[in-house]
Amino acid sequence: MANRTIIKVEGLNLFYEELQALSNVNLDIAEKEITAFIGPSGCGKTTFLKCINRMNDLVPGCVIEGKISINDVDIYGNINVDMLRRTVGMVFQKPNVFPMSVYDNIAFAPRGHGTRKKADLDALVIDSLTRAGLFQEVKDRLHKPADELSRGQQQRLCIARALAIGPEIILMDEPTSALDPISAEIIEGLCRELKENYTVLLVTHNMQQAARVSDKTAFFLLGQCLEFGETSQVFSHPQNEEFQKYISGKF
Amino acid sequence: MTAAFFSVVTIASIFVFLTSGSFMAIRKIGFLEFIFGPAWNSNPSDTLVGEIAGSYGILPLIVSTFASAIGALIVGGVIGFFTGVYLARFCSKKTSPYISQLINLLAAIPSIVYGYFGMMIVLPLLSYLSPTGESTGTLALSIVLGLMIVPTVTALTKSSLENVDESLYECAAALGLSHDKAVFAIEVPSVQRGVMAALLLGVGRALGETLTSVMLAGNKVNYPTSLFRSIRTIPGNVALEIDGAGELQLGALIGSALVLFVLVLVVFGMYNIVKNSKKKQQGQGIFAKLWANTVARFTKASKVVSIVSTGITIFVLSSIVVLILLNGAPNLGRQFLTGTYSGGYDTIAAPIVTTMMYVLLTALVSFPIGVCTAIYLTEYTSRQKKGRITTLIEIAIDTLSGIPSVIVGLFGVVVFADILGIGTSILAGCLTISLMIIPLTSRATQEALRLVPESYREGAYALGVGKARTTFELLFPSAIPGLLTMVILAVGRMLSDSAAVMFTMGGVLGPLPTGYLSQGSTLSTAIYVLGYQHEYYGEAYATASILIIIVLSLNLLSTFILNRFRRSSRLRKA
Repeated sequence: MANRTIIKVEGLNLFYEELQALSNVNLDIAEKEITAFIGPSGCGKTTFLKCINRMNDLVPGCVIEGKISINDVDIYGNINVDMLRRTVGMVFQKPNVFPMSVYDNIAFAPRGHGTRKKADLDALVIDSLTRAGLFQEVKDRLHKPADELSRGQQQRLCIARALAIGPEIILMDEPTSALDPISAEIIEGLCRELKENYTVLLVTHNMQQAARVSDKTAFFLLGQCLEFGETSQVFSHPQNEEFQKYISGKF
Repeated sequence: MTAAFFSVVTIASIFVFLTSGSFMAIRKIGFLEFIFGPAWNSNPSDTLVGEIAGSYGILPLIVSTFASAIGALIVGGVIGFFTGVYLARFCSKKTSPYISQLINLLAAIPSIVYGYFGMMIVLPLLSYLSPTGESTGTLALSIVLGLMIVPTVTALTKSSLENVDESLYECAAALGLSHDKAVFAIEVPSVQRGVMAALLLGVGRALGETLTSVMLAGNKVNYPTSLFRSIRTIPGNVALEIDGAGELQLGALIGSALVLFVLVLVVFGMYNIVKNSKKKQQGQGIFAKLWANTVARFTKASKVVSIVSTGITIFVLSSIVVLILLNGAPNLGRQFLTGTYSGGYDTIAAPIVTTMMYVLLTALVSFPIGVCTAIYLTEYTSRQKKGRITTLIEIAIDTLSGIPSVIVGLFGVVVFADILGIGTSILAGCLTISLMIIPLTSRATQEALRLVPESYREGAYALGVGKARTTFELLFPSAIPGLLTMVILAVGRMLSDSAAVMFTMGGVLGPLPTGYLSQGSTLSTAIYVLGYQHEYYGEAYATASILIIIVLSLNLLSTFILNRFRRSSRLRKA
């Protein structure tokens, strides 16, 4: 059963000054699935991810051509960027908790977005932590500094923080590459649970991870998307020659 | 945004003030006569029209200013440089941080205290050496200005040596060079740019010293033909004559300040060029050759010089503190600190109150502007690609922070006190000093904000939290230790300033101030008024003691805050 397309990318080109980092990327990303993005370093995976919540706006000299629409709205049209980023949450490579308590880390953004009542915030914090599978571990430490948590817990806190703003889409930029294997496994499991309710875009260096977790896989090389399809299909019957080489480790 | 332009406007108006204020006078005197005239003998009754009774040539002043700055460079540069080398490369790893800490503390001592120390201790000592018994002049001034810049030169030399690529040393050691040889022949030449930059920064400071110069130079307008001949520097001249200056005289004084301004700008321009220049081929410059032929050959001797210099630095600088405290302590009584004024000079209750009022208002004026400038520069402009406006603002801030206090003071006394009609008063002083504090706070706040990890910003923006909220609710709390240090630094600077305070607040010792329009003295200027103008030596020592104690404790406090912050951030990483 094919899910509805939520993100539609058409003819995307991206330049950093003179350097072309993405060329002519066309992708339809389906709702409530995990789409993995793999490829060698510098191939444009992360750049692509950052186009979707317009984090590239913060990079000077970055020029974007083409069209990205989410739920049929052109996100480079006349929209509020902060609203966009509330629809599209993001988790970074390294856990970047704020220097505040666990509770405040999650409540920081919702407070600014208008949720002020303590009862509402409490409920939101508990709900987000539960969804991120962290609540049981930290329920007695909600008001302790967040940087006292382990790295794996910090990363899940970052995921909880992203969930608390009520996104539809979650971007994950190599969320496990800075973690030990056990923490990584927990996060992978979490991804599978998250796709019940969210659309997940996962950038990863780890092909096994892509194969284990994702529904669809996209392979990037030198800024181009060379292969895109059902993960099982892509790995068992790779079409693109470069991709064949890449998955068999001849790179 | 508006705040950010403040520095640009200030620097522009100071420049306009200096040129327009002096233009008519210099035209009347004649440009060549003004710059190259051999005698300065002002007459307050001279106006812009009619006959000139006095003579207004500033060449001897320029030469004297330069001579004392160069002398300071020789004294302070050599001692500071070798001390830096010793601390970075010869001192044991255990003791080095303590000595560096001590020297950093001593760097915070206000220059007026150095000046007073020079007047009370250095002058009598030098009079034994002097053939005429007169000890004021180039030598005395050079020694004291030199001591003043020792901490700066030491710190910069040390840090640039510590940043030398370790492989360079390993390579030298692997070739069988001794430790001394590796340091002096290989490592030191590789940091010549850093050392040059340190020296230029020192010269910049020495050029602008004002009241110190008045206390030590002797103040007769002469060419510095002998080390003990009485001289007068440009800033010293301004300080001596600004009170009651006639129309033409004031114009000429402003003109001399313009010359000083240009000199300082040239020095700081050179500093920036040296600091930012691409690494030159090693061993090309004249200095490098001179170095290779002399010091590098006698590495044993150089090592001895380093040890001796460090000894001198520690001994002299700490004896300044000790002597001042010892001489000051007996005078620190209740009458002195809190007594009511009765016409004499036996109480400094008024300066204490004035200082508090002054620090409070100056902080209220300058901190918001400085902080807003910093926020604009770090958070609202792109970092990688600087626009023209950003560059302009940064240049203005740098220039403004390098301008000698005497020039800003002159600007303040004419523009705030006279033209705006505030009169010489605490208020005029606060506004004037704010002009110098703003660049300082702005720079320090920028540093503090830059230390906040980029990932916080990224994280907050990715959550759709707006820029203003990210800055004020996330970045600011994270930058608190840095901001506290900024506040302490700024207060220290306010307490240290003497020349501008002297001009704009009137420099009188009287009853307690009744409001911000009263005239008054801060603790710094009180030292000058008591010790130099009225010869109340014991009282001046006591005032200097109080000032030293305040400044040193502020400094310790900021070190403490920084250390705690570093420790906690290290824990976080582990």
